[in-house]
Amino acid sequence: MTEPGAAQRSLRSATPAFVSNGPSALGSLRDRANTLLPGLYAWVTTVLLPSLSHGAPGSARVTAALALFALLSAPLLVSTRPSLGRMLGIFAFIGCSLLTWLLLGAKVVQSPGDPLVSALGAVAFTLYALGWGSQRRRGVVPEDAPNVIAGPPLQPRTRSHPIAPFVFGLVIVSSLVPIFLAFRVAEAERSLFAHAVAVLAAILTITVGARVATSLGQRRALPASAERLNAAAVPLALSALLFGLGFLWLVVR
Amino acid sequence: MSKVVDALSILLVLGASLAFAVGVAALGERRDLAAIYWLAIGGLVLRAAVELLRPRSSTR
Repeated sequence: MTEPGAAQRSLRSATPAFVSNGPSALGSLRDRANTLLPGLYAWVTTVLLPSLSHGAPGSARVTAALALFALLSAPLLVSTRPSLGRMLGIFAFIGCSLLTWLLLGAKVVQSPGDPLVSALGAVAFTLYALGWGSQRRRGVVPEDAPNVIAGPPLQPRTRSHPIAPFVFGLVIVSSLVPIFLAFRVAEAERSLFAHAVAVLAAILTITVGARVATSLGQRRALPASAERLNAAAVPLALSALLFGLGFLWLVVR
Repeated sequence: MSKVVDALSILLVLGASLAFAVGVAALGERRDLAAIYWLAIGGLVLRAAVELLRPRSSTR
């Protein structure tokens, strides 16, 4: 095992990538394109357009403009003042967008003919949120960091099954179907409930699907097949019973 | 046999997702009883998929 002190003995000078030279504004915006582009799309489709509708209060347009200001200023500050940049990009942008929707009230509900726009706006917000995850700067090599502990690459304890990524991808796609179907619900209150149910269902499906995908082929980690089937017998039996009752109800009706 | 159980667990997860989708669609069509029915089935099927992975009676 490599001693922690080895890092000091083999200390390399910090590479330019770890020394901030104050990137230009355009460079900062380019580096944060993964958050800026989906954020702009989400802002235009879900904040700007509703705030420009006829009868929208002026206060909603002010908060919409503040949301845009936070969205554009965050990438410029995230390199030199990371905490302020993240606060602007995450809390200020989302907070001003939320305030805009609250001020718009009923006008924020898209017309029934625009569910696709709403769905794509939600996807854009998701991409925007994912873009604020930990990201290394352009040209940075993690192994060149001065505090890295040199040593051989760590090997995984097990290898995933070759079809595991395909299975997980299929689970993710199937879990998105209820979310898109929820946008087809016209009534406001029912739509809100449908969205909550769809998001919960997606979270549960992806969680279980991830465990299924990673456990494929893991013989030593799981009990014998007969024992696994016995454990699942009760929920499977209840599901079969519900199916039977539903079929019976269809026949009798 | 293990491959059959693995395939069953994948089908259960996809089946649960389908049941949830049908339940949400039923909500949109104002068929609340059908929505509850399909959401309950989705939950049970997902529970079965979880039990196939980590049964309580597993021995180490």
